[in-house]
Amino acid sequence: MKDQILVSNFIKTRSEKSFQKLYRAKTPHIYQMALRLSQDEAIAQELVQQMWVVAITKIEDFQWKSELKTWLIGILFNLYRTLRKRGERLVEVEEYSSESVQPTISTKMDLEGAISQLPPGYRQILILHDIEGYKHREIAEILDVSEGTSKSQLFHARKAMREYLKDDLNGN
Amino acid sequence: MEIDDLTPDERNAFKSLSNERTPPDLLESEIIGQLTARKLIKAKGKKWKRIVYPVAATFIFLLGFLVGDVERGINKEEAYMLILFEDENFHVRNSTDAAIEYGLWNAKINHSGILMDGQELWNEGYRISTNGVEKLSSAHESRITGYFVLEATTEEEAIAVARESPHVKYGGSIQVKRFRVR
Repeated sequence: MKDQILVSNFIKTRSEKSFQKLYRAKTPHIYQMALRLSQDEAIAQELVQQMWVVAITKIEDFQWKSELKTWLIGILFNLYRTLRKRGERLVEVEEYSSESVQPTISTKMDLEGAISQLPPGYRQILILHDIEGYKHREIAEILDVSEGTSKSQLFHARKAMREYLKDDLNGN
Repeated sequence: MEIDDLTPDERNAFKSLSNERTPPDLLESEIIGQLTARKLIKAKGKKWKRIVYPVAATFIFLLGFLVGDVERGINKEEAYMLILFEDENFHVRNSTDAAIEYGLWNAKINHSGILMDGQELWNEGYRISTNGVEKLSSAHESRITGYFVLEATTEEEAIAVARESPHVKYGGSIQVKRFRVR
């Protein structure tokens, strides 16, 4: 409800103040996600900036079929995918040889470190599913992939994450 | 293929990750500036402020820019300017997509470290000559709509940056010029 009030106040007034309230309510979460996705402050800031330009351009068409946060995240991931298509080669599926290794995670930094080393495709699934708690159906919508792809990518992402954690523990 | 569950240890580790990070203050003002320029939000303040503030901001910007160059020590041999032109051939079908493309191009060259400065310029302006002061307003006239200052290592690098710009794709043109830093 709070989001609806913020958005409706903004649409009514289009004022800087009403935008600031909306921005301040949503951006810390989105910014953290952009940082995890891009692993780069400058790119994260550019993504957040462009996300707000797109969101504010389209905000009157937003139908509230999803939460505002999910809609914003969808825009952010869309921008991130565009960026990747331009600059990076995608690493979608990589096979790892280890057999269901589940190393202990001793610190938050271990996990952040492992996430940062993941290929971008895996990273975005892991962030959406294991950090943000989205279901595969929702992830499929956000990323414009099938549920099966989302499940498969999560499987590989977790496998890769465990591999990196194991390497860290072994001091590699 | 089955998705193995997270172990309790992993689940706790994910839960412990912070969900929020305070963005830099500057980001908020940059976004508000962009939205105001695109007329997506109303400019704050009374009419006189809307006139005085941009003038003051421009002055501060130029001052900062001049000082900044000295501090950054822009290389006298490697300074290039890209000057963006538009005329009646320039056509953007979807302004949102274009904004994203320009933003990403900007982010890329910013990230690579060669971008020193760059701004979009308004269509409206004035030409001052011996004929006096002439108002620039024609949408069909070739006009300068932006500039970027680069510290490229070679002329080829500066040209490559210009060629990658979405500006050319949309029918605009770019002049690449080396400039002297005095």
